[in-house]
Amino acid sequence: MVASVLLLLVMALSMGFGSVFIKPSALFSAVFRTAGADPVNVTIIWDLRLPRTLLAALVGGALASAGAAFQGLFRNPLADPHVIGASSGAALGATLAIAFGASGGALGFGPVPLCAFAGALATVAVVYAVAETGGGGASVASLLLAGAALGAMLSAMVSFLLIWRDQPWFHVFSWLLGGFSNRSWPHVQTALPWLLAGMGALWLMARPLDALLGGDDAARSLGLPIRTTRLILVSAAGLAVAAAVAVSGIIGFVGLIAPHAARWLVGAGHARLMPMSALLGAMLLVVADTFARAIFAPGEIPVGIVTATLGGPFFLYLLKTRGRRLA
Amino acid sequence: MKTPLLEARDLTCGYGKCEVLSGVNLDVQPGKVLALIGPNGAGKTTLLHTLGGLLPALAGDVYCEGVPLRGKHARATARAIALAPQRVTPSAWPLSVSEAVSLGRAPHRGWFMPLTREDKQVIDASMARMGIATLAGRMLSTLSGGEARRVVLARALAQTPKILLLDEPATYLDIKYQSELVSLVRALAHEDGLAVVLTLHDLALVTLCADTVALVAGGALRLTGAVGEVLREDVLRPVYGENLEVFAHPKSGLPVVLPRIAE
Repeated sequence: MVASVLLLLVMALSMGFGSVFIKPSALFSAVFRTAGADPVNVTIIWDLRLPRTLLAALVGGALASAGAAFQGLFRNPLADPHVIGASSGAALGATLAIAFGASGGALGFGPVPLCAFAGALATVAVVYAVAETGGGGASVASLLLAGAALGAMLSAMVSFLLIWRDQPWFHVFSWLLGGFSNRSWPHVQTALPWLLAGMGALWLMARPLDALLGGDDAARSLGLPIRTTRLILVSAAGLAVAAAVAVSGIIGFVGLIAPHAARWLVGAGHARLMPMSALLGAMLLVVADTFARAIFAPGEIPVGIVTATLGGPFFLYLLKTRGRRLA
Repeated sequence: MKTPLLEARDLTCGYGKCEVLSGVNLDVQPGKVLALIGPNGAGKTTLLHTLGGLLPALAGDVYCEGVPLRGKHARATARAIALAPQRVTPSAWPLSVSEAVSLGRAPHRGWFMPLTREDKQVIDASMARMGIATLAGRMLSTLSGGEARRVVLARALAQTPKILLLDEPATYLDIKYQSELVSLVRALAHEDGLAVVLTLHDLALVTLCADTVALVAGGALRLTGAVGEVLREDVLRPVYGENLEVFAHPKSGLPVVLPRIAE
């Protein structure tokens, strides 16, 4: 409850800042288009800042939910949304699209996001299929290892493409670091259903995730179909991450630290952890995006740089003061 | 003779192509305690997991109330059979005691339904029976080994099963809790009418709580019988080696198995 109010507050503040500062009273009248609202402010809010802030909140929430799900599924505190290769797949897809100047689009995605989305989904599918052939369903260790191996391979292919076709360095590099510049309503519309569906499915899986924390034998003795559960978790998280990466590039750190911070607040039970992670992830990314466009206004920096430089020290601080609960 | 709650018929169990036990025939009666004994690595846990439907049978089948487990829905199986595993995997992120115990209601309520008042009563009763009601809000990581074992047992009780499978339930328990465990196991079978199957390496506990003992060794079920029929030197020595002795307990006359120091 408190966290949702806080999120709304953070989003409001974020919309106030930028190359033009909008006072809270003016912001309120612009958002709700009350009589006497400044038309310039209305344009700035409705065309630029509101969709951007919404997208940052949605992407942050989705990355954090996926991070929480993977940490629970893998019982590993280092798992993040990118562990099973979705982002490397997206990177390769996007690089191919940029390097060869792809055009067209589908499902409401433009050419680069579409290739990124497809690349991410294909990679997750391959990782799952490879891990699955070990027998008895995809094991946690083989999923992690297949994700790491395929991720390294795809990154090498991205590097190769960058060197071979030498023109798109800057474009690809800023995409890889992730950001929300020039994102507007079409991006929100395209990503919204995937992000919400993914987050919702992961929240529904809260109790199976709790059961998995106690080990596979314990979960199986409760009648949990482990194989199906893993497939659902990987698909839901994979879809959410693929959509997030497709519209905003590869944003690190949010999906890693938001779930840990949420665990310190509400404990490890996923019924409360999932929504809390999503809210914290949304807040973190909205704040980071505000910094990204406010520090060097009117220019901006990729938000991935902000999340890592701000998130890193914050994470180390949490680890230092409350780290014993991690082990 | 009552109909068995759980039967194994010509059962082969193991992992994939690796057969651990074969030709197992076993009846588990309601209201009785069956102890599986045998040397380390003989396949006690494998058999227990197959009886509980965690491992698919490689050949033959396990019948629960006359219905084969093969093809039975996992959740339906979990409503009838609860298994408390030997290893309590420590997780990086511990649930609270009551969260862990409440998972036992999942087979009844489904994974997505909220707990009803009835569920909460069962959960509280299970925690009270295991003496952990006061620990309800504690995190699993802060518990001692013995307390964590009792949480696992409470979760199995919260499943309100007809058949309770316990894999080395005495591990980490000191002698006070061992005697409490013996009383609990006997009460669950003899008063509540559950069928209890447990693996035990401590043969003193077998003497105290088992109605029937099944000896697992050499890839098969060697012998099934009453305590006095199985806990005998001529039966145990070929399996465990020569360095053991069986005495009659001075008060109860029950067999007591002790290791013998090699000369």
